[in-house]
Amino acid sequence: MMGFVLRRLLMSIPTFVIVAIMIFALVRALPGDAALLMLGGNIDDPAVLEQMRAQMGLDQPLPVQFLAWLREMLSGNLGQSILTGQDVGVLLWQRFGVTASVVSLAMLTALIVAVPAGLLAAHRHNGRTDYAVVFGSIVLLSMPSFWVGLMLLVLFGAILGWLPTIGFVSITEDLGRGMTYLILPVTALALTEIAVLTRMMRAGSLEVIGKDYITHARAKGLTETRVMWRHVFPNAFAPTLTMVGIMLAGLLAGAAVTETVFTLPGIGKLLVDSIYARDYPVLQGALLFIAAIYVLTNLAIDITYSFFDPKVRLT
Amino acid sequence: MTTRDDPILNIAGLKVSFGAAPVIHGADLTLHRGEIMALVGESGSGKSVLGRAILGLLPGGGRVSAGQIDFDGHDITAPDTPEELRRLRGRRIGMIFQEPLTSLNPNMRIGEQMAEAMRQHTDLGPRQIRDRAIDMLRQVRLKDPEALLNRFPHEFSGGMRQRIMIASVMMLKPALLIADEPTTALDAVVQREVLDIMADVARANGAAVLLISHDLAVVAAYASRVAVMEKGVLVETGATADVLRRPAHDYTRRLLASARLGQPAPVTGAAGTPLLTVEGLRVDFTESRLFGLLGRNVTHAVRGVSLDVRRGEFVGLVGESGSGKSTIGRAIARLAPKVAGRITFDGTDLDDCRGRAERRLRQRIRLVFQDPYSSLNPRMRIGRIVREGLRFDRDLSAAERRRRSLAMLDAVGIPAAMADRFPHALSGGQRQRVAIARALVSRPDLVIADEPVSALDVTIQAQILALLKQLQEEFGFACLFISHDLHIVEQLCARLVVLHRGRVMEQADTATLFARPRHPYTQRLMAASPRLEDGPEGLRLAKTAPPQAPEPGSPAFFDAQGTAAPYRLAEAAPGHFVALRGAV
Repeated sequence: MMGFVLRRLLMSIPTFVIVAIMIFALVRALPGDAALLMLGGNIDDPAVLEQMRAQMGLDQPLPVQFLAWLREMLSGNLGQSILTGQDVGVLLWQRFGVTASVVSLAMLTALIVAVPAGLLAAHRHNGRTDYAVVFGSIVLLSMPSFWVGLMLLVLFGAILGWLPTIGFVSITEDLGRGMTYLILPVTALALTEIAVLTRMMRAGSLEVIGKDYITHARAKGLTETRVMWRHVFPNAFAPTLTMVGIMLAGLLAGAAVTETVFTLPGIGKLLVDSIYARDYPVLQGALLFIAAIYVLTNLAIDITYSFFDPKVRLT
Repeated sequence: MTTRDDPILNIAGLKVSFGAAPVIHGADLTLHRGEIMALVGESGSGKSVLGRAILGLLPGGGRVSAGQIDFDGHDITAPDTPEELRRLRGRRIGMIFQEPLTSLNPNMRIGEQMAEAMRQHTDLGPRQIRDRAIDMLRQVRLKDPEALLNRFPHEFSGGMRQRIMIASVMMLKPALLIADEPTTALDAVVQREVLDIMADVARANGAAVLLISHDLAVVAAYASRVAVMEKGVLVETGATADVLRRPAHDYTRRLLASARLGQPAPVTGAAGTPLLTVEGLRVDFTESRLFGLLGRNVTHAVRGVSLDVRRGEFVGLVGESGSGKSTIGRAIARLAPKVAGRITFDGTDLDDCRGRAERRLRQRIRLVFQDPYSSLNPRMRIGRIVREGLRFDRDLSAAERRRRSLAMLDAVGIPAAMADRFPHALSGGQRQRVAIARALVSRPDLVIADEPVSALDVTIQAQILALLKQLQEEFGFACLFISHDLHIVEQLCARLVVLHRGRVMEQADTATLFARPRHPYTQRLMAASPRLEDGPEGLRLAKTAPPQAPEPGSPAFFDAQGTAAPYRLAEAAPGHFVALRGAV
């Protein structure tokens, strides 16, 4: 197990190098001059600009710039935001906390609803319950989450006035108030996830229900509840788990649209803002951070697999 | 007051249908306490459906449209509550399925799978349940049952899983055991063992058994009565000996005829240089751990095998699963990597064949696989499947290819009108015919047939064997016939090679081998597959002598259990080779 984790982490080093090169190249390819931006835009004296460039290392050849940047990154120094002067590492960590709480709550909610719903639909295959579940998930799937978010804001925020529509309070500061800010974004994200996961769970369960060992479990005289939860669920969950991994990594990397709709200070919003503001240190740091999230989430999912399939040995 | 003579199961006028299609039209069956009864029929005859109906577990869409199933005073077709039925399942009626590889939950430890039904049906504590489970595993003759409880199904072979299944089902001491083709998926040797164990355990616990099978010869030894089913109708029921001796129904007679397989008709080849020579073939399968840094796990699948096949000759390669017989076939077709040895085909060393020569070779050596359900691409029409066998023949026009493939389909008994169908529209036997046509369309010199009839019903087996014989006469190909069943290879093969754990145990021409099997392993194989034979008053079960203790003064046979012992193949009589222990 430890060996497996270690090996996977070693294998992710090339991934990071490639990602780093791409991020570096991409950011250099963006139009605009960082030094000019740093000086506040309009500069008449070219000497001042040159001096700024030299100070920022922009007069060096690109490979040298890259290595210098890489060295800083490796020593844990992600630089300071051009805009606010904040340390990028600290900034990322704060913003990630917001995104992570919204996304993980949404995923948890989605799993709690989708797994039983998928199992139930498969158990009542081609029955009314099954059709209702399938219909419900199609409806949810066809609504984009930002639109659902807007509608939720209109209903619960504007019309009913039950929940705040703008701003954010961290749950670590004030649990009760913090929760009120989380409810709507979590719901908006969870609804789409429920739709996808229910369908995965239903399809997986349908396949497993046809297997001999399920008939055998029934022939043993087990109750249907036990057959579904102890025999169908563990065998049918793997595809859903894959989906959870893909969605989780994507959302942690920034549910930019949702965060914008609900004005949440998350990592997605940070990324978008830093692009508009040409805040290169933040942009580079955020992209690298996102790559790390992808690698770690997938590793976590692969480890989780071994709990659902005894044949997967982590060696 | 129930007495011992009251039937435990009484089925009267049972009709089962799927949607509008009737599958069982009127079955009447009575089973007494402690009795073993065989229910025999081809696939699709409705015998499995009958077994499932007794449990009230018909597959999706099936329902009982008429009749009654009475089990020990409970009406299964109209239970008072669904709960009543569930309580009977497992506790009073146990069921064993055909596929041991798929009937245990891959995700649950053996101990838990055995215990859960006990917990559901009894008030026993975990300690007592564990003791019962260990006791049952001992009854099915598994070693070290304590350790076994913590393991997962995939760590066991098919035969062991089926024994675990028997232990788990019999643990609740059901009054009726339904065994649906419990050993069809297993090798002959293992099959015998598992059936023996099952019959013993059932007898020890006083359970009645309904033994469902397509193979009359296999079940006849265990059952006191036989019921024969054809297309949803029970056509004949009677005492086993009577049914064998005086079958009353026409279908029973046909079933018996095919179980007998008929007189062997060996296909001998031409004299002279052999078409195929294999010398000292070794195949290893290597699994490297952590890119080879932590060493490798090496499995020696084939450990130095030599054999030859003459032009137009059928040679049988026999052994249980894991003996390396399929690997040899695959190595000859260059589908398995060989570590050492020389394979010469028609004068050329296969190692020298590259590029064009290799493609030409692939037209001359063709394969037929065991499972016709997975060896044909489900998305290709059968005409195209056969035509594909000609794809490297660049001289042929499209029309010519079409003509040849249709002619070949016709030769295997598939009318040209069916060429546009997809494999799923064909029966198992028809699919295997298509697979044979695909192999023969390029007029190969050698066909490697890997268990070509093992997945088929007995009646179909006889047909396919006859077809192979007839096609051989027409096209004159040689064949390496791989099978676990000695009686199948006896039908067509002129010579036999008996394999065990990657080594040749015995090699001789078929008649000699059957008349005087020398190696104990060959004798065990022979005893394992029962056949029917003509007796003085009609058919009876063929008596195969149990393996005898070696006569004093006989040489020390090589035993594959101790693979480290020196091995040599000695010529016991002209052309008759036996594996002995000791240096050359």
